[in-house]
Amino acid sequence: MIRFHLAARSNVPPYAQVVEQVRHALLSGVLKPGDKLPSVKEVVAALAINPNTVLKAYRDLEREGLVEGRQGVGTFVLRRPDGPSPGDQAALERSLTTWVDQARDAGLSDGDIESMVRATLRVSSDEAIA
Amino acid sequence: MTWFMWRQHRVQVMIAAALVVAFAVPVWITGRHLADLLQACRTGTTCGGIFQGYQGFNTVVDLTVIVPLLIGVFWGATIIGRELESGTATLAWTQSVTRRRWLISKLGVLFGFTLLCAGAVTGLVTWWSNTHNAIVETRFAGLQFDIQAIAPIGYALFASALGLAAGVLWGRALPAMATTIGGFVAVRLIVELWARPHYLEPITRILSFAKSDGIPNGASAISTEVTRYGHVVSGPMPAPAQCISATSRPEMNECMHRLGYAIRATYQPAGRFWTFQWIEFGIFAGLAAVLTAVGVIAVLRREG
Amino acid sequence: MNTAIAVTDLGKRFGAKWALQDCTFALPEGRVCGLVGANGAGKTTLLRLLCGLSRPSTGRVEVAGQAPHDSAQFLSEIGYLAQDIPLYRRWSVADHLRMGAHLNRRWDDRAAHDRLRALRIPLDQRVGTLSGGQRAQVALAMALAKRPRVLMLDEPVAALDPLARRNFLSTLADAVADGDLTVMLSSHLVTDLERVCDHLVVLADSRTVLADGLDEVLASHRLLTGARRDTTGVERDHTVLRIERTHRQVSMWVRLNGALHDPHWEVTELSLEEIMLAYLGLGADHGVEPVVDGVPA
Repeated sequence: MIRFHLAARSNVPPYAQVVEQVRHALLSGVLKPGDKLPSVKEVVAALAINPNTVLKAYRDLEREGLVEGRQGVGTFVLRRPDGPSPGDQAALERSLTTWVDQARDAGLSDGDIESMVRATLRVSSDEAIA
Repeated sequence: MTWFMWRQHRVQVMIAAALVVAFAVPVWITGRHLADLLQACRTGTTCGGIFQGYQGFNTVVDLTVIVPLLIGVFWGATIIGRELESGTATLAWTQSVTRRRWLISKLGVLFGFTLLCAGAVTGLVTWWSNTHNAIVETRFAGLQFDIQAIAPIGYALFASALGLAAGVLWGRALPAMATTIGGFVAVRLIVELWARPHYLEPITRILSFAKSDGIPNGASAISTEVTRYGHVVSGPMPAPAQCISATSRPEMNECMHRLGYAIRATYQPAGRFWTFQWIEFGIFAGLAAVLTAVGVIAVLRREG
Repeated sequence: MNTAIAVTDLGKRFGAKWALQDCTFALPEGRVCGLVGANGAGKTTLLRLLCGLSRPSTGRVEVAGQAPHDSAQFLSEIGYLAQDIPLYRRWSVADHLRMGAHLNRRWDDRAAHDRLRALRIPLDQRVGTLSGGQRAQVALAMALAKRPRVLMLDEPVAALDPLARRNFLSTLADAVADGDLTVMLSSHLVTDLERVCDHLVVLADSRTVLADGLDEVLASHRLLTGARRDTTGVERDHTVLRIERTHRQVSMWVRLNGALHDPHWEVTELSLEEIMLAYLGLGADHGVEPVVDGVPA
């Protein structure tokens, strides 16, 4: 069963965090097609967030075709998003963990690491466009 | 609303009821006894020493003069004042009963309770004082007037209304209580000392030294002045030189009389007792009405 | 979509001093609106005007479709939690629920009891002996049980510890999820606002300076930084909240009205806290952006 959490001082808005966490759960196999997502009330009670936030996140996921809402019953997983297989996903996460350990040993703070990741994403997407 | 009012005020009501009962029991017992003594006196046997042993209880009865003030301070000043202070008035005003209905209920509780308590205590005191009044006839004088018949109920209504208005205007209980005490005492003193003697034109009578006259029984004395040949003698007056040699009171009086001295007494006759009671009640009830109106307007206009 | 609260040029004066003025905004139904402002900015005054506890000096206000007034019908549409959470200290929790049952037309006793039982708040305990968080929950349960259409809360979590705060907001959000409820709560805490609110009204100097959906606010406010240069273009096309200039650089906190055509600006998203600080900094010179010579952040 997926458990949501909200990062306190993140620049990512709450609903986007919910979407991200559902996608991550789908990619890593925590949620499988046919599983039921927590109800809006359950998420709201656990996180103390606005119900519209959850509704919006679930609607986004529905638009992407990842989940399906059934009136009166709940929201169910339809399929896994396009991406690496669970095995590949796990392997990527392992190498990321290794790299993060290295970065921390080298003296980088979590904030430094996040900035580095963001900058790298920016640079590489610029290169991809060019 | 009934449950709500009861739940809010039940402790105060029960304390007051207990106090009234605690007062009523000895009053009933002693009053019955006094009535029996009075009966015995009337049918001929002993009349002397009826009040022996009752001096202490007399004082207790006399102390009921502060009952109206107690009602005003502990009920009037707190019934709304306390709720404004603690914010629970706002809680009540944001349920689904209107401020008007809340206010009417509060007023009903306050004045209903005031009438019951003041009525019970005054009724007991008046009944108990029957014996006293029959023999000594002092009910028109000073304190007795203040605790018998219906004037005390007027005082109580006034005190409650004063407390209510003070509680609303201050928005806090403690200053309201202080204001109630101060205002009540001041108004009572003013009315009793300056207004009451003049409700009706008093009667003036010249009393002769020779006849050991006094003002009629049960009358309320307003002033007594010494006159000589019709003119008022003001200031302290030592016994005149000619009469110093008198060896007894009657001889002294006879001497004063021969010198032209007399006493001019101004008083209200006993028969006016009830008229005066109703006038005094009317004054205080009227003040109560005005103060209640002030309180009502202040509550309705108040920022929640 | 219906409007739960509609306020036009609302003002309230106490003697010579205006506690609130030129207040205008509209809040759609079903929203949770955060009311933000410095102490003394008029938040409590506004909430009291919305409940009908106070009467306006100028302007119009409509809550649940009607002007607030002292009637049982209007009062049953609204709920209010005052700042100090007034309750009867010597009464038990059950007494308070009973009070609500007697004094309200609509009263969901079962929901109130269930809610308090789930929070493990003993019903026969005197309210004065409960913790601050528990008292807040009791007051909230009372307000929700009367099934209002619009609920107003005056800094309900200001004095609570983080756990109690979370529980309170969780209860509140859960009630909103049930539907048919619009909420307006005043708060200082940005993190709470971000989680629970989807609409925002900011008061500065007793006036409304911002009133919009939270998503729209986050989407339209940006920080523009660049080499020191002429800013009139931006100032003309967009709403500038704050400018900081050093001898080399210029930073502008703006609300974008449309696209930004000048590519020379570096555009950064702003957190809700930064946006609010920019609005709250609009002091007496409302309409004239304060210019601060200082070190860039």
